[in-house]
Amino acid sequence: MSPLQPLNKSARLAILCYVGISAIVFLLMMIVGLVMRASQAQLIGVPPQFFYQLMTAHGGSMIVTSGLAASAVLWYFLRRYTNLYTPILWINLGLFLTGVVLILGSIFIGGFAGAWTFLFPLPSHGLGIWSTGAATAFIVGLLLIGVGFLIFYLEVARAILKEYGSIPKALGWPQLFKNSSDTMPPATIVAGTMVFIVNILGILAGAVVLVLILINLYVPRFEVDPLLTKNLTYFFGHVFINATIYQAVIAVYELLPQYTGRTWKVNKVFLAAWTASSLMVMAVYPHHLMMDFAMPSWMAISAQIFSYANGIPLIIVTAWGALTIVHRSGIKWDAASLLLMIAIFGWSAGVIPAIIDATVAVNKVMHNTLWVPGHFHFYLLTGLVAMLLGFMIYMINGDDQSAPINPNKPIDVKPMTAADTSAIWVYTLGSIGFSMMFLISGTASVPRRWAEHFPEWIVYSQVATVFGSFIVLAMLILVIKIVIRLPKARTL
Amino acid sequence: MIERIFWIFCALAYSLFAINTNFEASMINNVLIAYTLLIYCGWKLGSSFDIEQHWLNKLSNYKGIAGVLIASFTLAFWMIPNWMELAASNTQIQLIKHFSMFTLVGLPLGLSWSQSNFVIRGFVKIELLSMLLRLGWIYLISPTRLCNIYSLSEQALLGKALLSLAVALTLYYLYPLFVDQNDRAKKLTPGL
Repeated sequence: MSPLQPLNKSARLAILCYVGISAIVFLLMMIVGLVMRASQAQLIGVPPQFFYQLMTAHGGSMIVTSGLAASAVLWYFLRRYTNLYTPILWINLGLFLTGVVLILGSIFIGGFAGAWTFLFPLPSHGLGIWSTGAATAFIVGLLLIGVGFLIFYLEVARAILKEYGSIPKALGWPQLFKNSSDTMPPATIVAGTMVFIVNILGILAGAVVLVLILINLYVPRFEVDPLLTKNLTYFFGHVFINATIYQAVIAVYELLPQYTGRTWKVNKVFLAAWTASSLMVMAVYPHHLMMDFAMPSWMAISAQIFSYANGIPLIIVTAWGALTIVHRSGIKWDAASLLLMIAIFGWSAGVIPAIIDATVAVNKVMHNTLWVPGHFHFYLLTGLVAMLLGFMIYMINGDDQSAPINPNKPIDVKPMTAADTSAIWVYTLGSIGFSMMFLISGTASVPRRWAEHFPEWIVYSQVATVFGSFIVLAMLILVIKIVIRLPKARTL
Repeated sequence: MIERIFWIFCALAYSLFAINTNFEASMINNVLIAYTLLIYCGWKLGSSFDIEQHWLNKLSNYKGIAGVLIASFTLAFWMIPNWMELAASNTQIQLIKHFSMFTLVGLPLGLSWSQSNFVIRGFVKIELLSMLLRLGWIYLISPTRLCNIYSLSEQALLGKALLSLAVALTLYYLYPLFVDQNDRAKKLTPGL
């Protein structure tokens, strides 16, 4: 590991803004999620129209905020290996906030409730519930956020290519395919390279489809093919949310070595897994389109194969690497390292329902049930958000930062308080229980995206509401701690 | 100086040729050949000037951003079907189109491109690709003629051509990223 240079003031402030904003939005949107489940459980009354507005805000905000928090992780660790240009962080944040204001305005002022997927032709079919202007604000908001992230990932690409010369070198292909004896690229570089490749291509697809939907809003005679539009939308959205995990996992690669005093060894298996996933992550999205009967069969079949093959190599190398680096290391657990290990479990376990859903025979009966939110809530709540919280808590537990990081010596850790321990385990229990209730509801054929449930389904929602309350309570404790301690966060 | 005169002459020669013939009566000729030719001449003229250190350039065209924006908006304007149609049916508008393609798209791009860096160029390339894909898609699916003077089949053909061009350009842009070029790597200076 290269000697650490202090973060410059501007970069530190920007990263802390990313962390603080993300933590607060996560909490608020979890409360929104809880309100939706409580409404389905008939514990509170939410008008259906408002329910779909909440659903749109929850989905859209969670995805883009995950992207924001994950990009902070990528930037924070990537700057240890490359020379990044700080103003890009602010440009991205400015465009992000402008986009979010437009999106929230479109939903809560304009009444837009077409879900984060904004599937064509829904934006132009508001049926008097929302106007063309509201749909425009939503689409333009997403475009602005996309522009910000595009600039961000172009800067990541520039910085990596400057150090490594080419994509193959940054992904370690000479070592993988030509038995080169050159030093392996660090895990952060490999992950960062994969992320900028897939996200730039994903944003390109999003830029095409969003503008075409925008044109259709004002010139309805341009009727784009709904299925092609859906493909592009899902390519963009699915790649983007997958890439948030691939950025957040960098925290695992960088921090567990610090806690154990060991190094995260990049080997050929690791490089092969990341290279394979770089390609396959772009080909798995059709598992969300298997119910579209007009989709070519080969796409459905290949989506099943790639969905099986995509997640497993990366999870194996990451989970195996995490277990071996921790095993008999004498690690002293703190809130951050504990959350990172829980996240590895959450990611690994969460992929199982995802793979089941990607099986054509299962998908045909399960895809429009709550099984789908079950699979992504599992690996996003217990996997992604836990990783991001681990990183955030690492950032705020910075009192020991005067000690330089020695790769052969574990860093000093802050012992966990009772509040930390309780919050983390309550969060873990809550997120597993909450996701499991989605999955169980799915197996009982409870449909997704329904504001009101039949009496037979209400018990599932009621149990889910209890678990959801656990999550919100734990998040409240963790987010208050993160926000209060932000000013004292790390400077390295 | 001779080089600059040459590129101005080329643009003028094309403009005279186009006005006196029906060359731009074909949609493909108009969009893929005329636009490209005029922009290229303007680009070459612009890139022959070394203005990076000039105070006016420093003041108004930081990292070439202003030039790239002027070129983008002008090009977007001339991609609007109504203006394409008007230019094809009115010689004066056609001349304005030729002039602006040369001076407001090619010239500012030529003046600005060498000053821009990886992020700006990457952004412009991505936007160019997405514009080609959008336009190609629209031309291909439109059930009616967007320009009355061009036939529906020609419109669809242009759509396919733009989509093909987008694919070809994607490969062209990606190739250098897979080839190790130390010289190129050195040029990847940080900054917007």
